[in-house]
Amino acid sequence: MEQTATEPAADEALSAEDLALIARQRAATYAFIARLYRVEVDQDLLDSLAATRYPARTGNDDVDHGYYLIARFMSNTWADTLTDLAVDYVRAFIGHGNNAYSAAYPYESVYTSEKRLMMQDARDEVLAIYRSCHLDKSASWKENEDHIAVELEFMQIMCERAAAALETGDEDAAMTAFKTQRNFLDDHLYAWAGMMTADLKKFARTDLYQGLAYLTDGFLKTDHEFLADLLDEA
Amino acid sequence: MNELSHATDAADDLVLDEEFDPLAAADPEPVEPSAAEAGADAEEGDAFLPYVGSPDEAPAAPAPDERPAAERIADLFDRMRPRRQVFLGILRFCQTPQRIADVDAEVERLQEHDYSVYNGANLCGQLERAGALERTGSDEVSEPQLVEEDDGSAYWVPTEHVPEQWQITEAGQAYLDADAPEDRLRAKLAEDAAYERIYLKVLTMCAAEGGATAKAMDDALINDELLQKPRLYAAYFFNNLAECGALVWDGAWRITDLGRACADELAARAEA
Repeated sequence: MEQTATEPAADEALSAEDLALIARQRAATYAFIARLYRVEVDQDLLDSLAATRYPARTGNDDVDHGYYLIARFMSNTWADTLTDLAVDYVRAFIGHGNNAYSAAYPYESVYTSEKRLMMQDARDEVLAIYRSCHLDKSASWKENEDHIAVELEFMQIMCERAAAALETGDEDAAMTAFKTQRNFLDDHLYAWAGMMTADLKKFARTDLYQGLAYLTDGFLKTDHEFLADLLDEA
Repeated sequence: MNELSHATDAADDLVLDEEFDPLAAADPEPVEPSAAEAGADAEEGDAFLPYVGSPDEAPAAPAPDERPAAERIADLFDRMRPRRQVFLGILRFCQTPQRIADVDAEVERLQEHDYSVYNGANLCGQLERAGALERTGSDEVSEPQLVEEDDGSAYWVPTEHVPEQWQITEAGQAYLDADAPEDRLRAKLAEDAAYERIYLKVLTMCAAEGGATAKAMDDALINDELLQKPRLYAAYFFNNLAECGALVWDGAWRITDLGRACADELAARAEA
């Protein structure tokens, strides 16, 4: 398995084929990051992480450092690594306190509401966006719609839609999907994820979740810039 | 190396709803918290406010235990008396360095008939903190390997980690060497001298073919006058004997060689 490098800046003309490939790569990275946030690491994912090559020179220091930390963690696994990760997941994302500042709560509402509450306006807004894109939460998903994993998966699906549209020659549909991505990053994911990853760096103790925080920061910044370049040019 | 393939499973949480009409969608009914949930001081119109406080720093790490290892080990064995035999079994097993997976398997074997919420990692971790076990092969953090490609790209590749091993420490070995189950058994019998007859009865029952059950021993002892004041039950005796290595549990309580020798000694004293 091979982690995809982040996409190049769109400062040169890209063919539809190139753009579709980049969109697929972006979708894969969004999916990878979303999976790490969604639930604790299981044996299958651990095996997959051990067999992955992580890009070392993407052009973004945070992405490089994030991948390095994840690779270093995977170079030091032992018999009880899954337990270590499960403990760190709880410590980092659930915490032990009740003052709303005891963990990196992975919900947009917590970081965008004055009183750091869940199920606030942000959740209603992202739910409306999902529905406008004919998406809804799976019945098996018990968390709120503004969980970072769901927001990342929304971006993943929009990337896949853009790629599919480009592959079938429907450039209008592709541009619509790219615009949706940019708006969603501007209004939601990119606007709050940095606050959450700052907390994640504070509370996580394993290199894996430290690396995830850096990777999230760097990838979202790179992707935000890529979409801005692409759509401003268009 | 394969292409990244997280995309399909990660998308499972969002499903297409082709028939959905956003214009026809009604807002979900808001869920109002109960008065108890909202708290007595919640003002009308306030949002539900379960978790609000001041920013917190990461919790401070617990202070390290500065006592000598011998003291910490003795304290651990005293606090974890029901796991004593398992701890001793781990220390015996780790007199030569053992891979962690092998130690975990040994702990499973030791606890096969004695289920515990503690697994090998938990128990070895406690022994490590007490200074009785140490990990070898893991002093240095392994770095991933940097692979440079011809096209100028570079990748971090996780390296194969040197297998970690558990090994007994000097302090752990000293505790293991000093452990004398026979002495502990004698001390316990001396402490409970008044109950020698009961201990003998328990040992005798457990010496029978097939061992003895707790219920059988309880039934045999429940009306014994010696156990009425203070009220004692069979469990007190068979647990003491087990902690001293005179009995083992493998689905039934069975006598060990040490227990058999003890029973002979007690029987001789009873006849005298």
